[in-house]
Amino acid sequence: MADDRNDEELLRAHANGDARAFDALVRRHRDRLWAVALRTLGDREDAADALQDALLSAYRAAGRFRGDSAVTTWLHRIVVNACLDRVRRRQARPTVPLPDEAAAPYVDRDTAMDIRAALAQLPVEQRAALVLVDIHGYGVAEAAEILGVAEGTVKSRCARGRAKLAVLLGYLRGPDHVGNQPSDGRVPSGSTEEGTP
Amino acid sequence: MTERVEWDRLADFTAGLLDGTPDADEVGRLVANDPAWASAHAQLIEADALVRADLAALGDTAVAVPADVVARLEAALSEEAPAVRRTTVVSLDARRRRKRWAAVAAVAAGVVALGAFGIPALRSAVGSGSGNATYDSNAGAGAAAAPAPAGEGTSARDLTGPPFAPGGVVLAASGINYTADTLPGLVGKRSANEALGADAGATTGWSTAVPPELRRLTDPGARQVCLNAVTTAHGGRVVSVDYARFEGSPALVIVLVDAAGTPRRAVVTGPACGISNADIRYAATMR
Repeated sequence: MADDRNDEELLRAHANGDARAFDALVRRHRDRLWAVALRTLGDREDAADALQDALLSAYRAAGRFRGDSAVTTWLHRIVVNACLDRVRRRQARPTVPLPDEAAAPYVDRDTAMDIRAALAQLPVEQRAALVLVDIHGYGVAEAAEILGVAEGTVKSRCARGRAKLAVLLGYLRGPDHVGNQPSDGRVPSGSTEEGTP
Repeated sequence: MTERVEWDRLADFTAGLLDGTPDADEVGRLVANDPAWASAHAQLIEADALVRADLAALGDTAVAVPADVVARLEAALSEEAPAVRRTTVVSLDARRRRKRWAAVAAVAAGVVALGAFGIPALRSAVGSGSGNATYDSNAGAGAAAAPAPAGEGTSARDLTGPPFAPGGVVLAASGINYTADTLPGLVGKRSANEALGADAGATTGWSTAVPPELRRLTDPGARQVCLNAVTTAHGGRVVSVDYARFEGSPALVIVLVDAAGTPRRAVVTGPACGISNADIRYAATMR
């Protein structure tokens, strides 16, 4: 039976020793947290590891939750941070297709796989921003809170990430038309992303 | 003259992120005067909308946590709850072993059973196919309570009971290199030694005694996924796990009991246990 307490009540109850509260909270949000982890990391095992690390962190840190943000924002921040930590630790390791998601129904399987493969080629910071904003529909302000960066940085990561995806997905015409499209699909960085307002 | 298109800069410009900065004027001049920049800008506006639509469609696809990941998460969280601890690490270090004696005693029934029965004989079943090996319903004191032998089309999964022995699973890192020939005797001897608190010969601590290739499986969640895969293939309940070697290769040696607590099988798995299957290297049925 579903627990009718709201997220914050569940988190507080868990911090106060309610043995079932955290489980109820996890059941409520785990699919969405899993989707974020899977799409950010592009690897099933890494996503499972990251989600497990994140939920254990949240479990232990519940007593320190101050209510400055929604519980879901707080949970997403912990999951995304776990994902980013994991990517930074395995920088040289190639990503692989997403078997679980690839098996999910989709109107155009090839297109979906192309998008996932292209996403996997983005820098993880851009990928995480696009996963939150364009895929999961978070507002820029909430995504900024989750990612711990300025809103302008989220906008820039999204804009630059979309430009890279456009190249990778073939939405931009050939180099004859745009002068010097990079052959590997990578956008040359003429300015630093973090310096964007 | 055509200047090289800087895509990050152009993307920021197109998103309005440069508005109010000198760079906006500079990029605006390039877009107005340079054919390559003008073409890139026009294409980027159109492509941006297409990419947004693609990503939104991806978000419309429901993604549920796979069952094995759910099991793993639940196991990890239950391990975290002090009152719900289900596994007990048994170091072969003498001091730690003494401290954990009470915990070992909780599973003594299963472990001592190994010594008592002495694992009289093992009928090997190499590979992961549980259909190759059957439980002998006439064996041991638990025979009366055990289900009928697994026959054609019936797997050892028919054994009832929870996947873990009540009181926990005894974990050890014995350092033993088991072989198909020595597995029966060594498993029985080592298990009996643990139950009695005797020195099994290893003095290293838990973390250093586990072969590096098996470290992943010291994580409670990963271990439970592995053990679930093993019990799915072979049935029974897990009473002990030894992070050891089998014929020279790092391996978990897992002892399964039936619903009556009678040792029924020793299963050897490799380091990949739980990743896609149980990675079973060897299995032997006790009778």
